[in-house]
Amino acid sequence: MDYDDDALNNGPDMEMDDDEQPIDEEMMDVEDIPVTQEDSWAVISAYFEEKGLVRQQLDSFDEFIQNTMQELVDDSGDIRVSPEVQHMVGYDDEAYDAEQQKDTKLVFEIHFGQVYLSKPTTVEKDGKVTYMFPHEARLRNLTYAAPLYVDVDLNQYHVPREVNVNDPSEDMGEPVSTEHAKKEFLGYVPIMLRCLFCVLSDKDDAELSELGECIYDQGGYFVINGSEKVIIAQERLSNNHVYAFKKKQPSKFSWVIETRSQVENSTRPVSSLYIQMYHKGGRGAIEGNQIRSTLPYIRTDVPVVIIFRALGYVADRDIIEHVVYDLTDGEMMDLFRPSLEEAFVIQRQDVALDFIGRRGSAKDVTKEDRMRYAQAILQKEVLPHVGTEEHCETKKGFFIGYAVHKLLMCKLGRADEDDRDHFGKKRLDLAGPLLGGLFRILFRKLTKDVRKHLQRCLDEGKHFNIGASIKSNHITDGLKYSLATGNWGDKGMTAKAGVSQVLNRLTYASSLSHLRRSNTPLARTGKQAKPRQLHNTHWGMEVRIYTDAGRICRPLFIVHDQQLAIKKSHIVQLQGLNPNEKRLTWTDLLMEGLVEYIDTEEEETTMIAMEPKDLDATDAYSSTYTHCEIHPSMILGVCASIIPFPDHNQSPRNTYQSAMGKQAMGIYASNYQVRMDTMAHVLHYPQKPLCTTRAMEFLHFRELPSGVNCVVAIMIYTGYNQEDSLIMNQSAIDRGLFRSSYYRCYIDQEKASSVGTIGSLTSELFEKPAMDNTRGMKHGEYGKLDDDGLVAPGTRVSGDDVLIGKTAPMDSTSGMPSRYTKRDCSTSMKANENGIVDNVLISTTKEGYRFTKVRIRNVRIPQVGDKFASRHGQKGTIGMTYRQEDMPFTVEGIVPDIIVNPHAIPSRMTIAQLIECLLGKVVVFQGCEGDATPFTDVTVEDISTRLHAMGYQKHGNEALYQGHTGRPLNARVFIGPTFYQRLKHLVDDKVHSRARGPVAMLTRQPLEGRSRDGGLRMGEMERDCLITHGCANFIRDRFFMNSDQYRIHICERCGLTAQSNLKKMTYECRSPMCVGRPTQICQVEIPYAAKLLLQELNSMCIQTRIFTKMDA
Amino acid sequence: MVAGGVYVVKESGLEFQQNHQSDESPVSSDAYLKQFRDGFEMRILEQNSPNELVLELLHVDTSFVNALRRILLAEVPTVALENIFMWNNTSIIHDEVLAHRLGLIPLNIDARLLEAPDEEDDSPTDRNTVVFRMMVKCTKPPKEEDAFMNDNDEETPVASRDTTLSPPAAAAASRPPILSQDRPYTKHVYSRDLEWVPQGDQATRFPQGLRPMHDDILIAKLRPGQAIELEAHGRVGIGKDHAKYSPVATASYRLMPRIELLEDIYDELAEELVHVYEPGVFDLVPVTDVPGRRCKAVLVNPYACTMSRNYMRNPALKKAIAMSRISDHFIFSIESIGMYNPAVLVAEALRILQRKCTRLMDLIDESQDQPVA
Repeated sequence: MDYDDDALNNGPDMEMDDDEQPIDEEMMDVEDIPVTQEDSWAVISAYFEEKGLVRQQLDSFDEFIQNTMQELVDDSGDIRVSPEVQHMVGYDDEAYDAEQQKDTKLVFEIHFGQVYLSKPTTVEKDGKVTYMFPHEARLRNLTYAAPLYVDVDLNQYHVPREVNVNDPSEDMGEPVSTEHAKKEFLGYVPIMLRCLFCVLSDKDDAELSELGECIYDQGGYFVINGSEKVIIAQERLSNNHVYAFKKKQPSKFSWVIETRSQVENSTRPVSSLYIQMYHKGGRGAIEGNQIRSTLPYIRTDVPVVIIFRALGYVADRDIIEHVVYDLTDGEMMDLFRPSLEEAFVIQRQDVALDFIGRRGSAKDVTKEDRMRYAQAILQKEVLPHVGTEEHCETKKGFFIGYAVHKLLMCKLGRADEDDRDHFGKKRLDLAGPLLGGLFRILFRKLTKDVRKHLQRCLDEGKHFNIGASIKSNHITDGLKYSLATGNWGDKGMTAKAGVSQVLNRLTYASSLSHLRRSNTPLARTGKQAKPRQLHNTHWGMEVRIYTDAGRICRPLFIVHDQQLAIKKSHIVQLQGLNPNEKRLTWTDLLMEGLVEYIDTEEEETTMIAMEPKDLDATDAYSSTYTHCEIHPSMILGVCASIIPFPDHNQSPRNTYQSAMGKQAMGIYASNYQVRMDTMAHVLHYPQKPLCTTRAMEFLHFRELPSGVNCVVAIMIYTGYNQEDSLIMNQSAIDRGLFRSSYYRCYIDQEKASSVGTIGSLTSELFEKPAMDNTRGMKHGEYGKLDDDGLVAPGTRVSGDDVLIGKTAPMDSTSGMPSRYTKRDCSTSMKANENGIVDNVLISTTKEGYRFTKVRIRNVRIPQVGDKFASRHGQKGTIGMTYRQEDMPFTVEGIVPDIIVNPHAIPSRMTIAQLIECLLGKVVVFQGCEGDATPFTDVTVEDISTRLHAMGYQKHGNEALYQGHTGRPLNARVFIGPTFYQRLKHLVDDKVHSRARGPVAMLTRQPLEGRSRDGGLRMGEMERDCLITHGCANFIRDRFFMNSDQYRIHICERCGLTAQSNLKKMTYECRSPMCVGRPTQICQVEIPYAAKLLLQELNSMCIQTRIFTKMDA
Repeated sequence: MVAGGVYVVKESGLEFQQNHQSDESPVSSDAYLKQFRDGFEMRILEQNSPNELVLELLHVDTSFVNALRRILLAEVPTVALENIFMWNNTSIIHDEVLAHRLGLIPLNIDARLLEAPDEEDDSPTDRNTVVFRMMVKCTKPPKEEDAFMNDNDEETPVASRDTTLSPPAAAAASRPPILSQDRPYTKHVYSRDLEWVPQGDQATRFPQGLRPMHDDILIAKLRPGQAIELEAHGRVGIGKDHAKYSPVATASYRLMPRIELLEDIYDELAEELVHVYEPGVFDLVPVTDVPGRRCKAVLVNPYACTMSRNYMRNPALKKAIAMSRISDHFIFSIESIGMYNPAVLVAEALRILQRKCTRLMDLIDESQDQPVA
């Protein structure tokens, strides 16, 4: 990566010449050169070079594959089954009796041992196993997964009859016989791209492009049924923390201590322990400030001192020592006194246990049983993370003591309430733990089936085949199901939704940002604003989440005695400028203690300097710095790192741009020509921005940019750029500005058909449907299909043209003989799209059916209505295009590409856009990149001085001439190059209008939506408008005539619908009261929906009668 | 002298001031024409390269000069590739993108020698269409050692007829492409690969042959086995229809600045003025006759003024200088794309303007003949 080093050292506009020391022999005292902010970039480069951008995903998945999976299999425990000899009617009763008489029994044990993971493979229809590559999986809608194998031991034991087979702690002795099954197939595990087990992990760029992969792709996602899925990190409150919360008056308690205890790597549900302090002046015996605790399975709250006694801390002094710590602390002693006094009556451990046991669910039992019950609850259910084995009482006593101490501290105002939103108390579940949880459930299901199968084989005396008993579908389908749908958990069970999402491939930055996203599950009804707000502790964390066990950490420079531990010599080594020296890596920095990872909790106890220069400054804020930020701009995430000078913008604008950057067109992957994405936009001539940030280097924004540097004038011109619209230069558009290609993919496959088992047609068939034997053919043009039923690449296609011709055989055995033998199931273009067939792919599915993808391409030329945005949350649509001669021009003949209305600036305060423009202007004349990294020392004054030195007005203003009249414009205009993005919202995809069209089947009202050629809704508010205008006939026209007008005939006598035959002109009412009497029928016009309502009411035995005369 | 005036440049904007000497505006068209004939002046200021021209137009209406500018940009016809018949394109560049790129290639053809396409019948004839053909294929390298050689390197770069090529660009054109083992064999398709196919008597009508303006415009890159085969039809068109027909890179003008020193500016203030004003407008000269003054600011080149009102930020300078623009004095610059000499372009543009005027007059005559309804 010599490129990085170039950029680092020869940054053309970095005015920090002092650190650009030539590396030669004369440079002896490298140590004395201070490390500057600029040097941080060498460290950051090293970090990204080693870690990449999606390291959290890859590390987490590797951990799952390499350790978690084996641990889960080991923890699952052995399957032990004893044959139950069955009673069979009239069959060998003696054998059964004999078996019952024996004092030993046979026990079969299945032990799962080592697991193995192979390379990702796929099995074709003909049984051939081939290695699979991710690109093939994407194209053929396969799953990129590797087979998982396990060693299985089958042991047989003879054990005494009374041995409990299901107790894993029972010793079975020596096995009678042992059978080893090596590498039994367990199922397919989807493989994360670029992880250690991915075939791409060790490939270089040339090999990657040979395999059809994008060389800039970072991996970190899965390919499930051809679609790319990302597992979103899930945020949760960390377990085993002691939280203190203050309660408001209606509550009985003043303070509550909460601990969500869970044993690590266990499926046991969380066991919460609450310790509460009562309000003073409460009801009954509780006079105030007593501390009681809620124990699991115990109906009432138990005074905390009784719990201490039950745990074996009998003496008051003993308890106080564990709670108050400092016996001279009178205040706290006083506060704890009511609790001690409350438990005065119970002074012995056995009484305390009995006290707890009495309040449990076991009633009417002996005291011994109650005590044993209480003991068990204390041992197994209370604070299980401290320990569930015997003799954990001391440890638990210390823990409860700590919790009560915290409670007292809070009550005394010495400690604050805990903050639920503190990031240090949050943990992130990444791909590894999430998959681990899923794998545990699925593996348990698998072992349950194996046990069932073994039991049946033993009971029925059949031979047991281990391979046949393992149902690999559980793991294969289970993992695939969750990854494909995002429903995390077993099928059918209620599970978290949206854990896995389809990777966003709009632009490269959007993919990156998607791979680094985290999700905070919030109840949808929750209106609390607090968790949505950015918490102080989020500082810097959203960028480099580095996790072990879900902890959120970030790297910092270590500071010793106001000096960075890292020295200039390290920086030089990092840059690898000296060929004789070994190049340092990020890991080396960690190992040598120059940087370290600090998590959010530890961060609270550190003193962090913002920049290296803050350390030795004479007016340093602190003299006890422990750490230093690597670079303050690293707090920004993927999307925000693209913004130039974000530190000069109003913060919401940066947020808007961060969302909008994901909609910008660019080149989303270098392999887009060989990909078959359902939808994709590619910008034709993307440019790297003139004003770049240092972080862009790591985001490959220069290599895969998503915008164009345009000459932008901020001015009022003709009035066609009002209200966030902009004027664009038509001549520039003619020359190719912002042109883009739009790709859409249509997919179809031949599916198995249930009919036609007798004939040869057993499945659907790609073919050109023929009019004479195919029923239900569409209106579109079939002529563009070749004989194989597919359109040829290069064909121009437009709305409703058929792209994939497909027929399904029809059941010809039943019914009348028909000329139709097939039914049409062709795929046609979307009605309002057109383009050229770009590529046609034919392959087979895993099941061996033919499968095709057809890609349509379409050039989108900017036009009035298309959406564009700068990098500062300033979006707008084209309001008008003017040719070059109509555009204003400067004294040099420069004509703007885009004219933005000045009203877009003051209220939004996007100063950075103006600075970007100014720096862009400087840089375009100097022929270099401009550095727009935030939190650097560049000032507007510096930039304008440089601009002025080139003979321009300092602040970028220029005199312009009006294009139409040729007269000079009155005001000077701010004009210069600004990086603009074309957003994916194009008018061509939005324009819609309809006069007549399809209606819904049930209500006969117009359909909704552009894709269905639906009507435009005339809603309640529009109706209100019409009412206030008083145009009643127009309302009738909109809501009745142009909607679901219908006419029925009613009997004037009974008011019910009458029978009418308009052809024969006969009308009659068949209701009992009218039969045989002269008909009196009238025709009324009602909405079809009203007619429907009448019928629905009729079906509920409610008659609705319509009378046309008042007196009827 | 033509009725004129100056735009006085104030901090807030421009203010037009009528010229006092000529406040009688012409009353009849003949008087106007006489005034124009007497006053109009045109001078060539600069001609830095064959494709560039800077003119000075004096005592003429803005509307006239602007019309000239607009016609140059949008209405002088040129020939550009319009219809592309793609026979084979296996390159990674899509047909429509390739066609767009080809359309933008400037062709060295005098559009006056071709007829404009008929509006009713736009079928191509040898009178209105020129045909180019491009048949390029990237073949597999014959020998292993040639595998990484670019076949274009073997030919010496065709000496560019465009002498305006700036030195770095010229150096880039003659620099051999990077030869590296990592780079797969790639063929570069340049504009020189467009081969003229004379139709009818075109071979005699264009004895020098027809070719693109520049030979080294990169059109596409091909990998081994890829090929582009196409026929391209060039047609006459105007910039109004598509920017590719515009004969100029830009044509624009500015008003002549007039800078008056209302009082002498000395020493520090003079230094600040020289610094703050566009470079080259003012210069410092040593002062000997005024006691206690070192130097003085003098106006050396008002042409260099771009009307940035920087000096106005200093109240002292603001008071001392009056800046204005002469409303009938234009500095007009033309950058031709190359098919026409800029001087020819001006003549052509004037001819088109004349034609428009004639048509307008005809229409007026016509309407006067008809009785008013």
